[in-house]
Amino acid sequence: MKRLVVVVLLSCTLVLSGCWDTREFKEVKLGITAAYDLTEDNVYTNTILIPNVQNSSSAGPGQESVQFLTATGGTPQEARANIDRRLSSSYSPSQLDVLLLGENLAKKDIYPYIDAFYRDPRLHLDAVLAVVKGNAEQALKVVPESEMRPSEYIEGILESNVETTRSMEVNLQTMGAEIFENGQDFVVPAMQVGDGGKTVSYEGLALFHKSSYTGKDIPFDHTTLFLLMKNVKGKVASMTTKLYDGKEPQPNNYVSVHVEDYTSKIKSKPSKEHKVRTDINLEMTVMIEEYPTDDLSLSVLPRLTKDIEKALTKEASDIIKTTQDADCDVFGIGRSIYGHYPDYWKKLDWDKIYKDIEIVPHIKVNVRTRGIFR
Amino acid sequence: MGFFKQKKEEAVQETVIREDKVPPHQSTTSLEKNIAYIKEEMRNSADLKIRLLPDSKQALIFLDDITDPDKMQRYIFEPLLKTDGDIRRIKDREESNDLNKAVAALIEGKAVYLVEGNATCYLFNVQMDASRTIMEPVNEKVIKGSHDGFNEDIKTNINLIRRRIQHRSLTVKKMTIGDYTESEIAMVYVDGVVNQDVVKELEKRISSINTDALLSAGAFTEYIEDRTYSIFPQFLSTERPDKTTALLMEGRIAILFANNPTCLIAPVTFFAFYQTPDDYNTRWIVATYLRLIRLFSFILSITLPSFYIAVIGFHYEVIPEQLISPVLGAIRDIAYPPLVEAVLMVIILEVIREAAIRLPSPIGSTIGIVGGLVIGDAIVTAGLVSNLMVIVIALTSLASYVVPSNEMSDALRLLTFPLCMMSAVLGFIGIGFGLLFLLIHLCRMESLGLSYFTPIQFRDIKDTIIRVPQFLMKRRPEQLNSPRPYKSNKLGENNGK
Repeated sequence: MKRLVVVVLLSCTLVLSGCWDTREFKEVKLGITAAYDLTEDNVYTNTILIPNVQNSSSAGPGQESVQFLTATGGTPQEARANIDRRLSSSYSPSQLDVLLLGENLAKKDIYPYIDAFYRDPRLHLDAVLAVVKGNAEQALKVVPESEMRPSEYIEGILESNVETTRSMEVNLQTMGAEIFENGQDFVVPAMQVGDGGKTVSYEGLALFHKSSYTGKDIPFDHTTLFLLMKNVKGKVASMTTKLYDGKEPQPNNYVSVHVEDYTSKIKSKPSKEHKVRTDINLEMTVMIEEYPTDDLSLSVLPRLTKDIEKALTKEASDIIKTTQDADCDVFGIGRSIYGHYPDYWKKLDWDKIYKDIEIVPHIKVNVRTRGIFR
Repeated sequence: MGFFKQKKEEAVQETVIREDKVPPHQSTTSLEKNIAYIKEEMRNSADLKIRLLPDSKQALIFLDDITDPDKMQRYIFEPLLKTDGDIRRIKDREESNDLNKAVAALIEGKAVYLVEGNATCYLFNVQMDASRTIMEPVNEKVIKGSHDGFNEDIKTNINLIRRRIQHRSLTVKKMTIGDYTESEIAMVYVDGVVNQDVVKELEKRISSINTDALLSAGAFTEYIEDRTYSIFPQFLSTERPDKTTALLMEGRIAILFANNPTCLIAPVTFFAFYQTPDDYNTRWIVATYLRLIRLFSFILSITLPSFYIAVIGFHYEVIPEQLISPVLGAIRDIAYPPLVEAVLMVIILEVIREAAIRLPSPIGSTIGIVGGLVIGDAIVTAGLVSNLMVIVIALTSLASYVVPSNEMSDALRLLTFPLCMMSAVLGFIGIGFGLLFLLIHLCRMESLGLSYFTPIQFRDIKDTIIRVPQFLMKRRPEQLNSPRPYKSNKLGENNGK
């Protein structure tokens, strides 16, 4: 009898305590992609993309249609509430996969707009970020008809570029620490609306300092080398480099290599001249993928290797210069100094001196395969 | 559990006297009086035949329906002719001066021979054998291996076991239960391998049963099992002699029943319900794979619906993004919350299953098609249940049928309900709590005083979660605490070379 009473009471605590917080999946509208913008007069707008599914009863998963809603508000939460007012069921950003930031907003401090993600446990921390040149809302509203699932268009672009080592995955989780870390900055993929508003393209990596966009980017054709230096590689990596000038026809000036293996080491130490000296040692084993000159005998190879190394080193210097101009310590040199020379670090005003430190790239290339017929 | 406590004031009634405990009634020298007494005791039953031999000085009494005329001819009349009607010179007989014993013998199928002027009753065993032939049990088919099975005759069953274990240590103990039914049961074990404490415990429990009628093996377990209020079976029931033999050799006890092909095995662990004779007849890698599939289906069958309910009702963040629109499309137009959907679907499925069992087999398959296809399709089109829920419930019940033991599979299907409730109230945490309670319950359970959910130690893994090759199974299961813990189990001296 006693046990029965206990069982009844226990089940009462479950059922009657009012903590039945069930949130039914069919009663929410999920935002898959969101765009945050600042208009010219500094008004914050939030646009979301909501996928809807048509004719569920027939066979197959059903056709997907998308719905866009734009709202303004003082904070993202207020904008969210304003969106909710116009929806038949409540809006939930808990499946948010992509967060697009307009250029204007990104150039200001982005943290206030993403703060909620670090507080509400129901929000996805692995939502990826992207900066849109111009208006993010415009990019969000690009819905190519050829796509099976319009809601996944932008995410697909970002993901495929991560796979080919042209971009790196930057989500709220990975950048969360780096926003406040002194001596470590981050990059975010940059996108642009093209083809007269019909497509969105990936443009390179936007350099951030602290929590705002510096306005400078690593251009698309330099991203692979940059990522390899940063020790990030997707499934495949290949680079096309301009070796010579003035050869005819035009393609003969270039070589494409496929990176099979690489090691990248970044070593920093204090130096008298420039306060800090950093060596970036990148060693790659590559396969020649494209070399229209087609003169690849073993005797030519050492020279070609030298040329590639030279060209890549120049590219690397350009990249480093861009980051230093942007004051974006994306290689985490400051953190490395802080870790290895904490006393020395205390004497430095990192934000000021980063522009002037010496960063030297050393790039070594081993050609392993010249092609399948060679 | 005061709810189930029996009322104190039980009706006062005479206790039934069992046939073997009826006080002796001395027979007289008068044939007429003896016959009259037997007739009276047998309530003048119509099948009681009294055959007076020619000079009316001798009588043969038997129950028509359970005696074999051929046997009577062979064992009584033919010898009588040879001995010129002198019953005392026939050797194959029993004698008694107790008429009540004669009545008991009649009921067993013996014939009673009475002679005028002689107080002795002569008893002849002319019982008719009525038993099925040995067939493979329908509910425990195997692909490879022996295809015989127990039948309703306890003698045949013991015969099947004795033929498999030809050693003097195979011990059979017979007992009868039930004041009216006097059902015979036999405890079979291998002496020296079995733990004697367990044998004593089982004997003690069986002897404490006091009932009018023992009707089935299932009823028997309810008298003696450790936890009647548990959903899990604590006796393994099988109709396969090969399985019984294997379990006997592990040091377990088999209980056979007269008029029942079911053999109960105790003590068992939870994992014994997941073993089949097929496991030992296929290659060990395949057998291991099948074991893992079965354990996986165990987890699947109790958690899949609750997992689905929790995901739809609480944690839709975990749905992979590619699945969002298919899931959304499936559940958008469903009127009921997922718990109602699940319960509805489970009940429909059970109704179909129950109907298919009761119907004769030609109609049964029709029911399967009507129930499965038509209702399944229509219920989705009507928007009562989402097609995802149909998949979930169908998969769940399929997974529960993977368990080789019928009782265990029933238990698993019933366990779905509490877990669904828990997950509908608390989400993933609810499932966690539910599984926790289940685990606590399983760990507290005992089978004949030995732990039911024996912790999986590394050396017991060999024949529970996986099955290793025979020569690596060197120890009997730890749970049983057998006096012979090691099996003689190795390759020959020269490793078979």
